[in-house]
Amino acid sequence: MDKRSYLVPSLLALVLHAGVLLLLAGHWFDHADPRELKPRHIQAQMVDLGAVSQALEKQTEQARRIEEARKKDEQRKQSERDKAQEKQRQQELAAQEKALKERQAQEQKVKDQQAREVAAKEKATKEAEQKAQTQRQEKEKARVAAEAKQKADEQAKLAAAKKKQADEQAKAAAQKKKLAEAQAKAAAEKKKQAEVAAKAKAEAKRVAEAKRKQEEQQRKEAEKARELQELEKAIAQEQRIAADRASQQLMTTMADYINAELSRNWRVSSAFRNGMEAVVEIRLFPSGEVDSANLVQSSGDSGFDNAAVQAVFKVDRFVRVAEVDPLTFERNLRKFRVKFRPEGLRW
Amino acid sequence: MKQRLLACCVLMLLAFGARAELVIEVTQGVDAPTPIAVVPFGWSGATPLPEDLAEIVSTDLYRSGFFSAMKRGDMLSFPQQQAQVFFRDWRVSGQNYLLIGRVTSTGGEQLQVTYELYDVLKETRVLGEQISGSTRNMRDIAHYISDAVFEKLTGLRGAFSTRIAYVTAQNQGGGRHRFSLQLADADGARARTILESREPIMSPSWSKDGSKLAYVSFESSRPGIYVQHLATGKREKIQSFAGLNGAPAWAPDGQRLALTLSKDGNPEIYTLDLARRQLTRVTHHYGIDTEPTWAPDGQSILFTSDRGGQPQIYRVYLADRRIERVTFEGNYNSSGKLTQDGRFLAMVHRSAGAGAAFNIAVQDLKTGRLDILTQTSLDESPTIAPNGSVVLYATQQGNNGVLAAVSLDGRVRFRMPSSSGDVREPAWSPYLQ
Repeated sequence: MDKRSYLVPSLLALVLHAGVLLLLAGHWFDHADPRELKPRHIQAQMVDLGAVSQALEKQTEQARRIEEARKKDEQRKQSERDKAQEKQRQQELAAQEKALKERQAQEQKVKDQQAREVAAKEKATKEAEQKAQTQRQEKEKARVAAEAKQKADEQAKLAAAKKKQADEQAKAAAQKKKLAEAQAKAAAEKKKQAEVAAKAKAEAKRVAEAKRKQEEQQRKEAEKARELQELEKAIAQEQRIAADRASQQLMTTMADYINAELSRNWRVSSAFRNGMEAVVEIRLFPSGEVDSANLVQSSGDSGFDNAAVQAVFKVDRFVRVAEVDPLTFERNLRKFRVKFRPEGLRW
Repeated sequence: MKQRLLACCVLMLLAFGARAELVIEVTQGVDAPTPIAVVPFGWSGATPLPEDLAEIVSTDLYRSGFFSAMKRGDMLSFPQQQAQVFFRDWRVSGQNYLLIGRVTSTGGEQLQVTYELYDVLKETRVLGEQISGSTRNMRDIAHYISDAVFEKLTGLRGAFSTRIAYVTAQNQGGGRHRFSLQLADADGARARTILESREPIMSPSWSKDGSKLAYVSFESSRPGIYVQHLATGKREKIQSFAGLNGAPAWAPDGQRLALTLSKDGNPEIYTLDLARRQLTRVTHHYGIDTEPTWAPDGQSILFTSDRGGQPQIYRVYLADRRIERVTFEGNYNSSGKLTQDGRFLAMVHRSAGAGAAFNIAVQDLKTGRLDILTQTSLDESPTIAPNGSVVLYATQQGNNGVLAAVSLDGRVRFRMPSSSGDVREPAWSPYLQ
C-alpha cells in the first residue's frame, strides 16, 4: 500500500461525521418545541461545524481527486510497474504489515484526537445552545410582556372605541329620530303640497283643456278663414289672369285695329325706301280721338317722317278705342308708339 | 306649391307685359299720292292775271307723282287767308294739305305773291312766304312755290324750276326737215328755239352748271360736236373728226366731255379735256361703244356696247380701264342715265322674246332689280329729273314723236304739252342757279 493513500483519512472522516450526526440527532428530537420553529425567536450561536465539515469535505474531495488522479496514474503506470514490483511484493508485504501496525497506531491516535475535538466541540455547542436558550427565554419574556402591554393598550383602545361607538350610536339614534320627525313633517307637508298641487294640476288641466278647446276652435276658425281667404285669393288671381288675358286679347285686337287704321291712312311715297324707319308717339283721348302725334325717332327723311305723323292725324279718331275699359285705356292706349317701317317696296 | 310658383311667374310676366309700352309696327301703307288742295290764288286786280299760279303749282305737284291735287270743282270754298280756312271741311274732303295764296299788284307789272301751306290734319301752318315778281315771270313764281311745297312735304328738292332741252323735227315736205333745238320749262311750257338747222341735231347734253349745252350737229359736211352758251347763244365747235362724232356727255366737274368717236375706225369712248383740248381714248374694242354717261362721282363712265353680241350697258372705270357689264336682263339695253345719287339707272330696255317693245326701264344698281316703267312701244332717250323723281323720255304718238314722263316708281305717267313736229332727244337740266 502506498504511503500517500487517502483511504484512511477518508474513512476517518466518514466515521467522524457519523458520530457528529448521532450526537446531534438526539438533541434535535429532544427540543421539538413548536415555538422554536419560529425563526424570529431562535438565538443561534454559530459553530464552525460547516468549516470543519467543509474542511473534511474539502479534504475528502481533495483526496478523492488525488485518488482519482492517482488511480489514473496508477492505472497508467501499473502495467509498467507490475512486472517490476512483482518481485518486490514480498518485501513490500512485510513492510506493509509493519506500516499497518504503525498506521493503526496512528489511526488510534487520530481517533483520540478527533474524539477530543468532538467533545470540545460538543461542549462548545452545548454552551452556545444554552446561552442561546437563555437569550431566547429573555426575548420571549420581553415579547410576552410587550404583547401583554400591547394587548392592554388594545383593550383600552377597544374600550374607548366602544364607548365612542356607543356615543355615536346614541347620537345617530337621536339624529335618526330627529330625521324621522323631519321626514314625517316633510311627508305631511309634501302630502299637503301634493294635495294642493293635485288641485292646482286639476285646475290647470281644466283650464288647459278649456284653452285647448278654445285654441282648437280658434285654429279651426282661422283655418276656415285662411282657406276662405286663399279661395278668394285664388278666385281673384284667376279673375285677374282672366282679366289680363282678356286685356291682352283686347290689346291684341286693338293693336290690329290701330295698325289697320294707320295702314289705311299711311301714304307710301315713291321716295320711300326699304329700311326707313320712324317712330311716332301717339296720345289719345278716351274717346279714341288723337290728342297728339309726335315724332320720337326720325327716319332721316322728312317726307317719310311727315307721312308717318300725317297717317296718325289722318285717322283722326280711333273709334274702337272708346270701347276699351278705362283701366286698359290708361295702361295701354293713353300713350303708345307706332313704328313705321315699310316692307316690300320696290326699292 | 309648384302651381303657386307658376301662377306667380305668370302674374309677374303679365305685370311686366302690362307695364311695357305698347308699340305697334306698321309696315304697309297706301300706295297713293298725298292729297293736296291748291286753292286758286286771290287776285284783286281789274284784269285777269296772265297765268293761273294755283293751276301751275297744282299741275307741278301732280306730275311729280307724289301728290294728288284736288279738283277745283270739288272745293267747298276758296279761302285766301288763314281766317277763311275751315279745316274740318278740308279734312272731310280727304285733303292732307291746303295751299292758299293771294296776288297783289305792287304797281305796273309788279306783283307780290303770298302763299301759305297748311297741314289740314294738324290744323297748323307749315309754310308761308311772300314773293315779289312781275306778270312776265309768273310761271317762275309758280314753279318756285311748287319747289318749296314739294321740298317741305317730301324732303326732296323740287325740280320744277329746271329746264328741259329737246330736238324737234318739222317735216317741210319733199323729204326735207327742219330741226330745232328747243329749251322749255320742266313742264314743257315756254318752249323756245335756241338752234335751228336743216341738218339733224342730236344728243343735247347739259353742263353741270346748266349754263351750256353740248350737242351734235350735222350742219357742216360731217357731224360735229358743239357747245352752246345759253345765256349768250355763243356756239363753239369742239370736235369734228372724220366718221362718227356723237353722244357728248358732260363730266360732273364740267371740265371734260365724254364722246363717241370713230376716227380710229370703230366707235369708241373718248374723254375730251375742254381746256387743253386733249382727247383720251377710254375703250378699245372691235364692238360699237357709244352713248357714254358719267357716274355722279366722275370716276367711271357707263356706255352702251354690243361687244357681247347685243346692246348692253357697261361701266368702265377711268382709273384702271376696268370694264364691267351692268345690265343683263333683256336683249337690248341702251341710253343709260344715272340718277344723281348714282343708284338708279334709267335706260331703253327691250325684254327678251318675240314682239317685245322698247320701253323705259329703271334698274336699281344696289339690288340689281329692273322695273319697266312704261307701256308704250317705241320709247327712247330717257333723261332723269335732277331730284330723281321723274324720268322724261321720247315716244311715238301716231307718226310723231312726243315727250312723256313717268315717275321713277312708274306710278304716274303723263305726256308733255304737244310741240309742233316730231319731238325727240330730251335732256333734263340740272338744278339751275
